[in-house]
Amino acid sequence: MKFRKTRRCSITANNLLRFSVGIALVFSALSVAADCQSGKGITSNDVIAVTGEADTLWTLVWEGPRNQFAVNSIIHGGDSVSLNKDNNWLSYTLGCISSDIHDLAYGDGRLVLCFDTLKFGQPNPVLLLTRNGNSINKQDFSLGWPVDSSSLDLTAREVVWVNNAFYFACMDAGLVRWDYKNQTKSVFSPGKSSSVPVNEFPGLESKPDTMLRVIGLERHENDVMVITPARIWRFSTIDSSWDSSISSQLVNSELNFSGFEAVYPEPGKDGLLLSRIRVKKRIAGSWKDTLILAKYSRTQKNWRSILEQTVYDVAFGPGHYFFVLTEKGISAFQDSLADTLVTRSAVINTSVFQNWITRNFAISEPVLTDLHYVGLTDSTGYLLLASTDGTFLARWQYPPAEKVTFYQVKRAPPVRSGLKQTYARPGVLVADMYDQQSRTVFIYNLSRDANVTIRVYDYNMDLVKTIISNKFRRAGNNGGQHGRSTVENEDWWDGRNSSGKMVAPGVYYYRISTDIGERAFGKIVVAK
Amino acid sequence: MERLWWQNKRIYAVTAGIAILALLVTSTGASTVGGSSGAYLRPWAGAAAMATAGANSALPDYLSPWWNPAAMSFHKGRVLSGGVGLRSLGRTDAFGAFEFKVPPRLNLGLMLLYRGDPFLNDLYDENENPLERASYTTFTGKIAFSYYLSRKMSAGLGINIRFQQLPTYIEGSHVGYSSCTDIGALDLAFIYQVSKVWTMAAVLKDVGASMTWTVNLNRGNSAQIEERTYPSLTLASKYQGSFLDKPLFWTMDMKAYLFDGKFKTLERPQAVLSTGFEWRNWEMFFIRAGLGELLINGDLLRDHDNYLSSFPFKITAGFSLDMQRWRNGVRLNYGVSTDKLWAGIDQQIDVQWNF
Repeated sequence: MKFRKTRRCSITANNLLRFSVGIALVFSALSVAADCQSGKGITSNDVIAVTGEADTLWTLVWEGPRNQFAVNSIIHGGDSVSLNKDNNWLSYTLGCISSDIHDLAYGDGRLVLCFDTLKFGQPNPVLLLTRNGNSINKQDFSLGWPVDSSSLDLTAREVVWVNNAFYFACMDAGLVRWDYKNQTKSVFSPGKSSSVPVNEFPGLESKPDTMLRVIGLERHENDVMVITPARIWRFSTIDSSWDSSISSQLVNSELNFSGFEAVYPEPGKDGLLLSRIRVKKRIAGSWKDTLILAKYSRTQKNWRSILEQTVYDVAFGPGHYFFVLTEKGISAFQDSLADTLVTRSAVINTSVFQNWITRNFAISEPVLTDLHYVGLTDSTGYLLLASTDGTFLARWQYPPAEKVTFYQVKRAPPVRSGLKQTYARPGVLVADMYDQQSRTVFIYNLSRDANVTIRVYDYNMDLVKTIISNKFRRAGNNGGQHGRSTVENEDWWDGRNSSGKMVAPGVYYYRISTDIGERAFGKIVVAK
Repeated sequence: MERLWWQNKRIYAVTAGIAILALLVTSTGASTVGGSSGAYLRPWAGAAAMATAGANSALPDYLSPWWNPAAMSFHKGRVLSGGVGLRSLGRTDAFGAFEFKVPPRLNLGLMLLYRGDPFLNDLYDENENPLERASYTTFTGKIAFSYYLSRKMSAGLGINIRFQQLPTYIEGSHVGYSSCTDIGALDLAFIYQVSKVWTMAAVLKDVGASMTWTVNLNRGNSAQIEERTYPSLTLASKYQGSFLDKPLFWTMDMKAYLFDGKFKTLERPQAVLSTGFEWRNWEMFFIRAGLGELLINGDLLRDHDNYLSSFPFKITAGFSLDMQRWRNGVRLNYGVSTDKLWAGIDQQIDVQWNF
């Protein structure tokens, strides 16, 4: 899975690695998120990734105002109604995570998240989440590299679940298998059938070959497709053997192969094999770097470019359909399995999808972040599309209908513009046993950009506090957060007056006024 | 020839006195009264008070236990009153009061005021799911006494009984409640009749008012919150003059908050000034109007841009109609007012029966 990170702090792995040499110790448990908490509902619309299987879905979300990540999970009932009910979702806040989450994978009831290397001074911290009835439990650990290995880049870039084990793409170290039932962690170098336990990894003594860096992986049946810069390997999880028979040959004469970046194998034996490849393309007499999506021909043992765009993710549906998430949106293709180019399908069309989303949710240009297909039967399933404005879901069947309709799985409902609908979230502000700094956020949506003032008053309409005064806010359909005008880290009230003193329990009123004449009033109950 | 009211120098003396007091109050900066305990006690009660912008403390015609217990000494007979009010943003009032004489010098008054929001809607939970409709409920009871000291003076005492109920916890879409009760807060009042046409009064309200909440939270947890109401001091005046040869009553209240609930001086005191008129051009029909709750605090002098940007006031009007055709001594009072946010209008209609 290669999801798009939109607003993460950029702490590079290598910098952290060097900075923390000598600090890293072997830990079996880490306190990654000390202030974790779980609850009901979906905690944010800013969905970074979506994963899961037919029984359970997980989304990873970014909670901007609190500067932290959360996961939301649902036991999938197989219908969009259950997905849309907030109470069917469990949420789990990861606490303040200041750096990237690289990848997540779900298998056997467990969700694994791998963080940026050396997060909290530890190499490869990993968070394991399991669903237990109405709660989500967590277990934090690192992969447990020896101290002297920390000068290598051991970033766990990607993770997959195959054959009762999680596999991590760990750069200089290679492929790491974590068998959580036997609590063993082993390192495999591409091409070598032998392995070493992670805590005995020789580090620099292994003289890692940069061309054998494991930069990505993907599951295919009982195999792991492993990506190194110059080659795609097939690692058998049954006998731990490596197959290097997939060539790196490009059939397009105007393209020069630079390196593999990702691989997308279609489920099933001899299925379609796609890859995102970095190439040099000759344009106006000079070679320029570009990315292509290429299809592999097993008979001719070469790759053929099918799409010259930056591809973020690919998901496969039944009937040799596949869905491609690119910088321009989402498209559907169908493959004939012959050595000819794939055909673009009209059932999912980027412009139609954009128009639909704009019309229904006042979201002009959602940033699509991830794509996931959940098969329910051999010919039906769900296509899930994550975006910075919620998750969208389409029921898929083969052969497909003429038109595919997306539904939105989204906590934050659209708010009518022109301040015709405003409210405080939550409307009852009490001290939270987990979060004494509980606060309420003012939800509103302007019809056009304006300067906004928000004030809170008590029962006698005496001014309690000015929340914002003449602050510029965008209309929801003009780039506002979640299709609204609310700026969640500014438009909030914690129940204190202008002197910082907690107000008395009671009903309070707020007024949202603008310099374009739109205004609204609402109520908040405070008892904290 | 009788002097017109604006030709009376004492009027200007009183006005100047109130202004000086106001400036004293305002010398220390912006208000912290907003959001303090007992905000629900500050709106005006009764239609006559609403019509005259809350300038009703000097010598109220009815509802004296609320406004000024000492005023009962100057009423003849008994006064029974009741009314309902609908205010902006769903706030609602309803009251009943009875005042009677216990010869020779004592008067007693009882009143009960409901105030709250019975339709507290548009509340959402943390996940933006709409909650069931809830309500905010308060009851304020007052037992008031007045003692007739002389033909010019009387003193009054009010004992408060207060109840509040708030929605505080959420289970699914259901909202649960917490409540608190307080008995024993005092109101103290004094009236001095300067002349036949001029009455002055001082009312100290909510002395020792304290409410302790046990706030029910989710998962069976609870929290204790104590709130102490800031006592208020009101200086009031009622002057009877004439306009177009018809009686004109000019009333003025200045309500100041100088101390917190523990009687420590407020760091930032504030006052509100209200003034109103009642013109009795017709015997049956009195016209009332006023300008109320003009906020006076330090921002007026020090940060007038901010002060003007949120300058609160209320414009009020109303009438009193004699219903003697129906029953002698009955008057119908109606008041209408803007609110300070311009979110809507407040209205109140009362019936008073003097018998």
